[in-house]
Amino acid sequence: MLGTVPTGRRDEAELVGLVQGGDATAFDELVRRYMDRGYAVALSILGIPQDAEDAVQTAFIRALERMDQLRPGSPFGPWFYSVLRSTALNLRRRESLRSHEEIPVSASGGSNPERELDRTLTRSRVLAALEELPEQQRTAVILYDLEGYSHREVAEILGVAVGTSRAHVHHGRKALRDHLGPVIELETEEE
Amino acid sequence: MRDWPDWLEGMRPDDLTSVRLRSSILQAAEPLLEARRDDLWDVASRWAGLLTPVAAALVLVFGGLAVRGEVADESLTLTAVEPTPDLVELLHAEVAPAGFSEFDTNDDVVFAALGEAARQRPRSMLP
Repeated sequence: MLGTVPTGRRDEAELVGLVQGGDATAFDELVRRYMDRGYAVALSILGIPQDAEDAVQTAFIRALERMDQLRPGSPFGPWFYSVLRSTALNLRRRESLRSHEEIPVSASGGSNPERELDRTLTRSRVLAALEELPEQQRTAVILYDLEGYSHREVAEILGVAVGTSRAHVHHGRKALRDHLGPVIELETEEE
Repeated sequence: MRDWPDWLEGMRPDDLTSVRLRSSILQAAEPLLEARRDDLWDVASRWAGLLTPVAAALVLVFGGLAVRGEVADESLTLTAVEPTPDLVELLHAEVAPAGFSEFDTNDDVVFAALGEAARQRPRSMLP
């Protein structure tokens, strides 16, 4: 294997360079950084855990195939989320064409049943609330809250103007607060 | 990277899902990563293939120049010998007898010279 990467935080541009040279450890580091949050984004778009897993896996493979398109020094995260979003939207479009049996949200299980039940209930509530929002609004809110991206970065991922991104986050959070209560903060928006 | 927000806690994959997903991603990625490593070697080999003749040519050119420089230095040293009286005497002794260089291309003269040489050869040297 070429250039084995020691564990620990590494500059993302450096990781991308190593992955472009075929370094498996560097790729694993990117997967560990973005997999869980990517899963949450995909789940918010698709609503079904199994589909979210498929979307995340496909997005990572697509990102790897197109890694050379990433400009040197550009951050991996926003670019990856735009790949993930388009992958999830394609999957949703394809899945909507055929009827399929929905897999229960709690199908994967876990080591602590009480915690898993709690997680499942929370997830169901959040997914139901997100379902009420247009896709761009929900993705904007998730990326803004989960990754702490700026409106500029969210706008880049969604392919919209910065003002539109700001409006999506504002209206999306307001609608989510109506559904989920004060767990959604309204006054922390930047820019 | 910022902390996971409380309201999105339920959207986080559980441990089993995380392990399964990560493993399947890395498994699917391995052939692509391997192809990238191969590409890197191909590029290195191509460059090596291109640069080897150039390097050889440079070695020949610079090596040749160095050798020629040495030869030139040596000939310069030889011409710089001081003409001492001993050396002049030695050179006179080496001078060929008069008429030595005026050779005759006539066959009879050559054969006569060869016959004379054979007669003067000691008998012990004869087969």
